[in-house]
Amino acid sequence: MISGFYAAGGAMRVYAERNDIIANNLANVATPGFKKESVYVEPFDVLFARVTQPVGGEESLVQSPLGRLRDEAITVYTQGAFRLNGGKFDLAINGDGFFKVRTPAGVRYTRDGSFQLDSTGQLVTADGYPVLGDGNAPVVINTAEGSDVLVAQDGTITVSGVQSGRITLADFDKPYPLRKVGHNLFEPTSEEAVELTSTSPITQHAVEMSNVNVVEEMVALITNYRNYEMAQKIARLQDQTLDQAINTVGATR
Amino acid sequence: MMRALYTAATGMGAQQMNVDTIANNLANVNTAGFKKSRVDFQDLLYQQIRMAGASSSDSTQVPTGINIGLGVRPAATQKMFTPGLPKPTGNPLDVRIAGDGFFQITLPDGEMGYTRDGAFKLDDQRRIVTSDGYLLEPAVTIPDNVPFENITIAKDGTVQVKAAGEDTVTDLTQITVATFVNPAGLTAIGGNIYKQSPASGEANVGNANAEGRGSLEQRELEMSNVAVIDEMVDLITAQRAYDVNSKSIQTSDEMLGLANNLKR
Repeated sequence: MISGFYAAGGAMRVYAERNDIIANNLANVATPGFKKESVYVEPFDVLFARVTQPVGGEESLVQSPLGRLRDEAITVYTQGAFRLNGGKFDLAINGDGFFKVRTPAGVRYTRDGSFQLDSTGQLVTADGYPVLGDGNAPVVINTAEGSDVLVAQDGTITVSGVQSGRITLADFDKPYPLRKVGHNLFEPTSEEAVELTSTSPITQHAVEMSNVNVVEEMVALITNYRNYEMAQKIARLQDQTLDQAINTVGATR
Repeated sequence: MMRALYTAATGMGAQQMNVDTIANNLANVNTAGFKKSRVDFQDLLYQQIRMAGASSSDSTQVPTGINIGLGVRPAATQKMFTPGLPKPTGNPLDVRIAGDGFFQITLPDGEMGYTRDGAFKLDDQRRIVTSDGYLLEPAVTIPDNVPFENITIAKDGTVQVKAAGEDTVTDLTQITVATFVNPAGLTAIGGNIYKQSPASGEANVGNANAEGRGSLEQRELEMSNVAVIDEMVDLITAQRAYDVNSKSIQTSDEMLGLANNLKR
């Protein structure tokens, strides 16, 4: 059989997977603190050259597009825009760093600072996981004496003039040894990942929006679709070639 | 089938909920004491296709791995308890809480309700009630001989009345105010009324204008805290986000169509 047929089929699979990643970025266009997955889209001519070049060697058609796509699915930790006018427990990090959150599975990290208080006064995420401060202890905001909560840039919390704990930020060496686990949380990819501290300023009354750029994603969506279409055309061409070989050249009449 | 179809469907569902919430905010733009809601989103599960750190050969490791996300989910609709603008009305039974706190209302089932809507009235027994006729707690009864205009409510909640034709001012019951550790956790039951929930914590009842509780301002109402411009911007964003997710679905559908066309 013609191996190019499998190459084209493999390419279709790759583009279907890319489509999944773009769809997830677009679905999270309004998710606070969301960090997009990058999808590198190759120029048409590069791709065409790749798909039509002879099979064999390092640039094997069957394997290389797949392998490349997978290495390209990386999380992009660029800063998201701030949305202001939030509540008093809406916090955004300006620069590198993560809020630390205690989950039943251990300490996790997030950039989504749309926090709330629970019934005991702990600062928690939308899932009720406590946000950690000094000494990895949950941050408790005592609002019994007043409700003017001020969060300074270094994370120090003041309630009506009385200091009430401090939020600390974590950071890691880059590239970040983190992976997403949903619920806007990141977890370290290995036990050895060393947690550093971050001194990035915290902005109160602001939420960091998703860093997904709709224009980029739409362009990627269209390009990816056309690449998929091209791979499909090539697969059909291979099929036609086989058809000719079997039914015209090899006709036994 | 393609994950993208389901991923984009979660995106459309989430944005639909967002539009529903914004529509409710806009519908209540003139509701006294109304607090706007906001939907908080979270990313959904991630499917691990290749683990970062896995060995790709004897001496090399996969540097980043591959995670495919499966969409978005609404995590919470959060009531935003930012203050609404004051609106002077001149009505002696219109009371605004300047700062934190809620009026306590006895609901018909005997349970306690909480509201920021201070547009009170008198019922046939001259008790102070809400627009729905629910009693204010503690109950305040205005004596028969007191003209409507002679009711004074002080910043600390003391109700003072002066009977017609007399000069002496009589102190009645003091209106108390309830605060919560987490007001955003209260359950809204409609009619501008909230109920206590496990998330809100216990009501902390006490005199107004003390210990962090707001003061009472008579002859004023607290307007809704909905800012029309903010809501309109959110509405446009939500609509476009909905739109863009529908494009993902359309594209995925066309890709599946192409795959089907492989077989002639």
